[in-house]
Amino acid sequence: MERSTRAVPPPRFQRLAGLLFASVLVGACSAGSPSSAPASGAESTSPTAATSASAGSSSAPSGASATVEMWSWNNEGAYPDVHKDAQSRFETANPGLTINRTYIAYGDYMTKLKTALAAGSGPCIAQIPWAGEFRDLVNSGQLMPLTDAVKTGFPTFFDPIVKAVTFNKDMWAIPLDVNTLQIAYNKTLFDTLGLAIPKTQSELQTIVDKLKTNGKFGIAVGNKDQWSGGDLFFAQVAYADGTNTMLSKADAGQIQWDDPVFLKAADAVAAMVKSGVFAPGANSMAAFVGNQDLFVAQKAGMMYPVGNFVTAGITAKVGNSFEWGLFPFPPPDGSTAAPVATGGIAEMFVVTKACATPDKAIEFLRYLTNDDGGKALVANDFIPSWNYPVPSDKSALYKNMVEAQSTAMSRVIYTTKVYTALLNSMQGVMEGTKTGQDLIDSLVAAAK
Amino acid sequence: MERRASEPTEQDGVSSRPASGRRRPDSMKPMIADSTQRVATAARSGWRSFLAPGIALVAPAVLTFGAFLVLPLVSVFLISTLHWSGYRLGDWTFVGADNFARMFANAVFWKAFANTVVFTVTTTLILNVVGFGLALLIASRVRGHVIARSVLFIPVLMSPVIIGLMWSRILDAFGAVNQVISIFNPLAQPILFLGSGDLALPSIIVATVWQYAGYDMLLYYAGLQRLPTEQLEAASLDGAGHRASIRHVILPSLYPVIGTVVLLNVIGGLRIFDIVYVMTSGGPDRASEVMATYMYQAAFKLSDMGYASAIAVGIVVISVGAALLRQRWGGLR
Repeated sequence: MERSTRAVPPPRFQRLAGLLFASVLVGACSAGSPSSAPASGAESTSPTAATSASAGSSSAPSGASATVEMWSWNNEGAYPDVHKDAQSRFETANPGLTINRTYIAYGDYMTKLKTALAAGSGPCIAQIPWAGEFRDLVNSGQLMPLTDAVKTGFPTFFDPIVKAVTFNKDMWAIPLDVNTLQIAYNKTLFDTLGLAIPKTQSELQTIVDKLKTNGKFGIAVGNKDQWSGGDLFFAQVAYADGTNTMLSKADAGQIQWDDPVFLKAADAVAAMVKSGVFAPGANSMAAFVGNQDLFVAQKAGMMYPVGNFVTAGITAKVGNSFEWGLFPFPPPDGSTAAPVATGGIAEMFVVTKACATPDKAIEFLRYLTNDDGGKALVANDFIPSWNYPVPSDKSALYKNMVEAQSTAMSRVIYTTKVYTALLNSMQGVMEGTKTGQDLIDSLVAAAK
Repeated sequence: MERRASEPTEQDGVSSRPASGRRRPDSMKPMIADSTQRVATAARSGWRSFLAPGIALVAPAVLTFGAFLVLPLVSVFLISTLHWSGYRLGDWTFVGADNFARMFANAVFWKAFANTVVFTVTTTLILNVVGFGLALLIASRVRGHVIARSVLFIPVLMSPVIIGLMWSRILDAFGAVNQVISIFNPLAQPILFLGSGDLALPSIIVATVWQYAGYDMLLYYAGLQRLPTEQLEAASLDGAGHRASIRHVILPSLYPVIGTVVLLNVIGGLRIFDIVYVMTSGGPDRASEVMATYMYQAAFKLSDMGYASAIAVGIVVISVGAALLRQRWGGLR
């Protein structure tokens, strides 16, 4: 009798175990359920918040009140101010409509976006890098074409910019602003050493030699995160290809990557590396960290690449130590081309098919790019992707960037395998272990 | 008297032999049979009643294990047979073993594989030697050993991302190490630890050893604490010096610990990602590419989920292989 009562658990224990099991199940289910819509003007930067917010992003009704989820990685600098300004105007003009801005670190951004879209719970509006991921996303069928929408209430965007976001005759993104990549130089140091802005690459070499004899490095490049090396190549392609069409043609498979234009550009970079134009350690310095430190500490006389996305940071760090300015990468000797910068889209947004209220999302993009939107961009030293008058009180640096934008050459390869091969091989070129021909061979192999 | 665990009793529902070994009278047989049957039935129904709470108690663990280990593992195996960009769930093509064929034919994969093996073997060797040495030092109760034990373990508690960032700045062309070198040789060109193909992987190995030496030290220290002092005393009385004691007493006693530490280091080495990603992102020009960074690039930069899954399967197979090898490793079981 005693044995049998020991073998059977008391009813209270059974109920307790059942309750525990049920509570675990309920807990698990509730953890996966969508969270409630975020409060008006909500702004989140944590991945957890991003996940919970995304779950509710596309469930908003298309009636009077709705929440439009927007994802971006640009939570540094003044971009959030521009977004917030548009949000404020939009929500005031559209009572009941809310924009929920979520900022996700760039390193995780595409991973999270891809996962959310595959799960059918992506944001309405998403910032997209002007790179291969954009074309992959278009091809995936997850985006809404904006060709018709852009005809009403949007400014007339720069033509090359429109072409850059057009695939299969449809426009897939709204470009907010553009940027240019140039060489930053220590104006005070140049003046002290009697140096002038170089007009050719041999003049650049002379400047570097003079800097070196005075204990300074030439151009500081941070190529640990690779993309700067890609831009060095694009800067040379801008001169090797006077038509500004070869990159897009090769990218589309219309010409081969072993075209002499690309070899000339690759050889030009390799030659500059060999002659010591760049500060040592490019591959071990992150862009805007190590190379910026060298420039700000006046150990390097120049820094590349620099655009409006980093000018405020440099100005803040430099303070009153020295004056600095910008000039485009100079053309090779014998070239008849005028110095040109490379450039393109800085921030652009797409509307996803996961969006339950695409009309509201597009309306918000109109607020980002209308006259007030342009004003907010210019006030924060960004360059709108459409013609916008430059106020006379803007800095010389800003005016320089706007002027450079008018002739800027393309700097994009959409085929991710080719772009990745370029970035990896450019590290080899910067290290001096790869030649221009090696780089071209890697592009050809990646394009197969 | 306390019953031995292996000794069957009636409570276990198994008929027992009489303790004396003498035969029972026949008249007792029906009584015993009846009693045994009743006990067995009661026990069976009793254990059955434990089924529901038993399942309830293990369910959370089983569900978690299934959802976060078995399901992803099975998914990875399935996805490795597909061509899938990862943007749309239903948008895939079955390609069979094509991803594996591509993987084996790709020079970058073999480079990543070789780097992973070099990283794993080197870190495992150095970590064990350094960890064991530190443990011996701490166990010898040198002055300050308590503080040293804590300080050496602090890096283990830190995120590999932080460690990676820290070492990136230390090994920068103009970082702390190069600045120290320039004090002694002002004309020396900076050493490009992370920017040179020859030095990038060794630099990551140094940072990894710095972070995890304290972990191995702690495991070895715990093992040393369990060593019977009698054996060491006996060895000492027999005239064994320090080296002989370590070789013939301490190390053989630590074989199970060594086996575990080596296995942990090997598995940790094979799946290394974060510190490599932060310090070099696999560069320069793939010089420090390991399988996990290569897999990440294939999945999230090249949108080639099938191929990335094939690499993941490779990592799983190698890791399981390493674990099996360890199990079969003679004296270290």
